[in-house]
Amino acid sequence: MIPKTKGKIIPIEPSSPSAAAMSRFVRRLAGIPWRQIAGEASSVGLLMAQGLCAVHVVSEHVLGVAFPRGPSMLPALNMAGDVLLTDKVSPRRGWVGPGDVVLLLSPEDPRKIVAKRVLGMEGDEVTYPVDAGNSDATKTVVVPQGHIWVQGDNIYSSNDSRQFGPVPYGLVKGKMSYRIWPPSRIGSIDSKE
Amino acid sequence: SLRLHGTEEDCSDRTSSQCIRFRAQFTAFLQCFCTSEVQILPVCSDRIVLIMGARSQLWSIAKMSVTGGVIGVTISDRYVTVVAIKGHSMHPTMTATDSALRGDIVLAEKACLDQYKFSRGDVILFKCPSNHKEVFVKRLIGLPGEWIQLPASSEIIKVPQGHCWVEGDNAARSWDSRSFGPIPLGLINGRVTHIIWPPSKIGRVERKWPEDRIPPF
Repeated sequence: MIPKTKGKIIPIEPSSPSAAAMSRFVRRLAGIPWRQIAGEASSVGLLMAQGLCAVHVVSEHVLGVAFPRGPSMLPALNMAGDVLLTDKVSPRRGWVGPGDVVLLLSPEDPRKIVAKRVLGMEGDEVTYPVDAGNSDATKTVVVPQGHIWVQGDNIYSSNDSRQFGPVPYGLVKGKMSYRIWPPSRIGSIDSKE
Repeated sequence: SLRLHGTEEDCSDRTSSQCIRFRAQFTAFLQCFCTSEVQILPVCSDRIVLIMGARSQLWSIAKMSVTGGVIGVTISDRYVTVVAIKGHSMHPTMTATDSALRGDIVLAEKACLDQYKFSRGDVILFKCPSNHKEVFVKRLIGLPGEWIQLPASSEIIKVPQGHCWVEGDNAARSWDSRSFGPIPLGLINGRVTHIIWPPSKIGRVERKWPEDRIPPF
């Protein structure tokens, strides 16, 4: 029997059964269209790389998804299970103002991303409770240039500007604009003072 | 009515189906503007085939530039980016001149932003704390938790957690942590590793720091 491989006819000339098996194996290997497979693999790989790059560009510069956890923004955000759309264009253009809920890198640990509400922009006077729950004492500060004052809605359980002071605007990474999960609370995040 | 002429004999099979589609779209488009009937006769003339060719050329150029741009932005955000130095705060390590072409150009890597682990003496890019649109390049000389002696008053302060102390090599013309205090690590954009222009300065950027200001003195 003469095997056909890619139109080439290779004659069999076995000297022993094992050599015959070996030469059959080698012939089958040679018959696999390696160049075509490599070409397809590289084009699929390139397509996947382009897709991943597109996903990165969109989620970093246009619209991302966030899963905030923790009690510091109750009742606006649940403790867990919320899925929010983050607008990445607004902070870069400076369209962030008091009342917006923003994502920012924590000034205490840059690997942590926290969600808080902006209470004051540069130049604003912010009055805040110094020791919520224990006393009614308040303090008033003026937010320095290029900084913002962020506070969690749940002042009894929030580590925010009352502890770490006003943060530079450059730490803001996104503005929470819309909640897409859970279904009962789908809608835009209210902007309130 | 509007008539465009051409000869059908010039059509090959592929271009004819494209021509038919183009004709239908073009007719519909023109119909929006003309009150009288629009009619396009068989248009496989050289002129229309040229339009078809130019259209698909432009389309493939547009596709390639968008793909290249997306890949370039991803690489520049996550791995390595090229920055031209403006300002004189890092002289003589890096100098700037008025024109971007003659100032120093450096390579900055972004892998350090994964864990925010830096070493004393690294040259870093960071956003200015009082203006998020400006990017500064300075040397990191105080890590979180370390002590720094201020030059003016000789008092010793501790760099808070999550912050760092940055100073320019050219102390006289550098606006840095001596003025605006320690900066949060989150403002850092990258770490400068090599100078790639001018050719006389090509090479790694070495780590160094003022020994007399960091304990033990």
